[in-house]
Amino acid sequence: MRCLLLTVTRNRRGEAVRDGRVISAETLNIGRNSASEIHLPDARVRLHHATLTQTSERRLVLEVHGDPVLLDGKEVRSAHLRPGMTFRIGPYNCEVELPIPEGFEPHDFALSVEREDIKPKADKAIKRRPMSLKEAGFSPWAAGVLAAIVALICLIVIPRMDDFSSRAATLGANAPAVIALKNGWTAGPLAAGHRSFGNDCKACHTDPFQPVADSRCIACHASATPHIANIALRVSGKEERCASCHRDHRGLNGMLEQSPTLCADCHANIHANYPKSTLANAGDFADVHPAFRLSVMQAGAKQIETVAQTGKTQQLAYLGLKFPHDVHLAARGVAAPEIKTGQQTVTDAKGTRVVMHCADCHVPSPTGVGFEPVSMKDNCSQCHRLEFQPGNARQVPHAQPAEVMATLRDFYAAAALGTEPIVASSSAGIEKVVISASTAKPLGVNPGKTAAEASRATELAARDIFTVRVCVTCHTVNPTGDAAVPYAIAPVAGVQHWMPDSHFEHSAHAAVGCAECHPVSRVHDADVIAMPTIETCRTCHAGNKPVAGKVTSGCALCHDYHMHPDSKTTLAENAAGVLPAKEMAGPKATGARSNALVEESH
Amino acid sequence: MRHPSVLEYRRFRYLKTSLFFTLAGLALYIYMRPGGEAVPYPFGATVTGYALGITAAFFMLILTLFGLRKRRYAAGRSNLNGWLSAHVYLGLAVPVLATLHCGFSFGWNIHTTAYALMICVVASGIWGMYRYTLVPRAITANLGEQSLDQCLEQITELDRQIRRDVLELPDEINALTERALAGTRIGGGPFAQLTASGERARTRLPLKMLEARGAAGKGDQGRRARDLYALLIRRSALVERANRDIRLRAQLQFWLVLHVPLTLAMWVALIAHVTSVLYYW
Repeated sequence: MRCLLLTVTRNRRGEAVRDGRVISAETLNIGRNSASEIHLPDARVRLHHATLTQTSERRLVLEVHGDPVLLDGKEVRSAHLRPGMTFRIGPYNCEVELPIPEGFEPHDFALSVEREDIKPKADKAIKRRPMSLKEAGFSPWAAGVLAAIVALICLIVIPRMDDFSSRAATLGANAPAVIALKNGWTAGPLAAGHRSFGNDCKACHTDPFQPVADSRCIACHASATPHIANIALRVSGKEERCASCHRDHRGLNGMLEQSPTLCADCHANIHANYPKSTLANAGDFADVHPAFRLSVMQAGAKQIETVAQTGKTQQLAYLGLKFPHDVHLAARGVAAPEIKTGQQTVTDAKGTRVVMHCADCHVPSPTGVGFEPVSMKDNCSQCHRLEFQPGNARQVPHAQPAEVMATLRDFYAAAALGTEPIVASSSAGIEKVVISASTAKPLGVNPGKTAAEASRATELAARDIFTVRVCVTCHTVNPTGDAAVPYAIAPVAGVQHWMPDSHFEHSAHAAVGCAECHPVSRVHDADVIAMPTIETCRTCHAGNKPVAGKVTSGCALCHDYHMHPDSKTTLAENAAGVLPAKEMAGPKATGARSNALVEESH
Repeated sequence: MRHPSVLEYRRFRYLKTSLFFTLAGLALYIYMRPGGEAVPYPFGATVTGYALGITAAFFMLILTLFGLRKRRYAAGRSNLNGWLSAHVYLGLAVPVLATLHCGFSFGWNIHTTAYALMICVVASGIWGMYRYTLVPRAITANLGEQSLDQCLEQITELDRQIRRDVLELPDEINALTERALAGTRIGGGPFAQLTASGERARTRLPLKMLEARGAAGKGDQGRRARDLYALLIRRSALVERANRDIRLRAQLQFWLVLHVPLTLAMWVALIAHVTSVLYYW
């Protein structure tokens, strides 16, 4: 078989240029292999792609070994070829042609092979991909603008939507993300009491870029009192606003200002700011704190005065009672007419006596702050009987002298009608009167003598109990010169709050024995105030700096910032400039609030 | 002579500046809260807090101005090395000052958002600085004097050679080689660039096949197979180098793609933070 292989190329003008050579072989191999008779160098052509053979009938047969061949547009694996047929292998178009009679060696048929002028994919250089982030479209500044826009929307636009328009405020108002973004503008969680405001920032922050006005606080907290109620004492420009101390957005209890330096800002050098102040400088409890001052009503005084504890002399307060703590707390006990079960006793040659303790009289009040008032009925009467007639258990009431006298008169008048004679006397027995029995004086006989006996008995018994035995044991008794009520009892001041500007809870100090702060077991005079000095407190209380074994104590542990509730001026009135005249009087005004005669134990 | 690092600029002038402000801030903070009494609720709204916050914000302003300054390389008389040195050291001081400013109070709000963004900016900056100490050297070590384009040209040339040579080799090798060449990826999207590594598994298939067949081929076929193997090995090395170059450069650029947007977002958050504080005074 002889084949004229025509290799077709195109010149610049696109015209076909055919170059031919005759190949003689039994079989024509078509393939990529350079040993192939018809060499088609391309990756898409198999090494041995197909073969051309001639049958004995001189028919041309194409047999495909590799991928199917496109023969006149149809995929085939083998075919009989006739002149004019075209088949395609890879990028090559092959056309079977009739032999060309001239110009070439004799041959049986011609085969033109032309590489189609489409650049195959395989020949392309590596596809150019982005080789840098910049080529990949990544620009830091473009990304930055995008990030800034996202941040602007999330951090400013959405949270401040309410400011743009009321319609905008409703957009996504219930969406959790929107709510979270809006909450993002708060500085921190609200105090417990202010949580009822919810997201209504304007409840307090009425004007943008303006501090919260006190009027917004007073709108609810109208009854709060100012720190310095007396306007005359205030220094213009020194007054702080509510929020100077009470800053919200610090959590549930964040508004309770406890900072001691806040007080010390002014009080450490009080006269620099308030020249007229009567207060001493107070900074840290450990070292900068004046001696305690006691609010006391001294004997003969008209009003309560504040007296500094000097530590050298005893402070006295007019009490109006004789109560020797030393006698009652003596270890050898006190004689008692009766002994109650559970009472501690001491027995010796002189008899059995009751040993008393603080708690026998001082019973803690239910609040734990102080103690129940000490009363004659509950605390004294077990021993201090008000019996007036020896041999008779009858007692006068613990009442005004007039009532006592009435009881005495009744008793002796009745005795005058009795069947037994009765002897009334002053305790010393110097004077006595015998009321004879009624059997000795028939009714109607000498009634004047009987009345005189009863009257005389009353007089003697009264003198006995008022001035010798009973009343005078505890009270100061003064003669009146009035025959009906011949004696008067000096007023009793009761117990007052000696340190009204501090708060002290006894129950919080239960671990400490009473006598450690109130050393009264050797005190005989009831007027001696057995209040602890600052040194006593300092044995357990440190100042602001923690000290091992001591309680760290800031100002607020004992002191309130706001005035005592007795000070009637409220912040609301203060803000309005309305002040009662008495508040204008001066610093003493605050001292008068502790009533001398309060029957309250504090 | 060793080229002095920007970090050593003017005998660590900005390291000293930064340390001074950091230690001063720390001292002020410690002084202001002995035992936590003076500032029981440490917020920014104290004199100390304002001082620390304003200092930190001022630093941030200087740091951001560097970004603008470096884009105009020739502008002004100020030294870009000095700017960069200041940028690094003052940038490291900001987290300390800002932490003291907020007094370790954090929450789900814009204030902490601004803080968190600032931390991210500084962290990306530190990462960038770290990359800059390693990557340029690695780039030089990788390609030497060659440029990436030259490397790519070499690969293209090798491809041409390989395609020519492989025509004479068995079909399966031819097909695998063609797939390997066509499937080679150099560059691509940002992720592809950042993770670009060597060659993909299929690009190694012809090598494996040639290895499996061994050097047993005789005559022309054997010689061609050995030639192809050598070419593929050379190509593989080149592709790996090109990819490493792209990866290293992408890493060098990528931190900035974080650093700059985070910075701008941080400024928005910072403005919101300051505005909210003043708005709700």
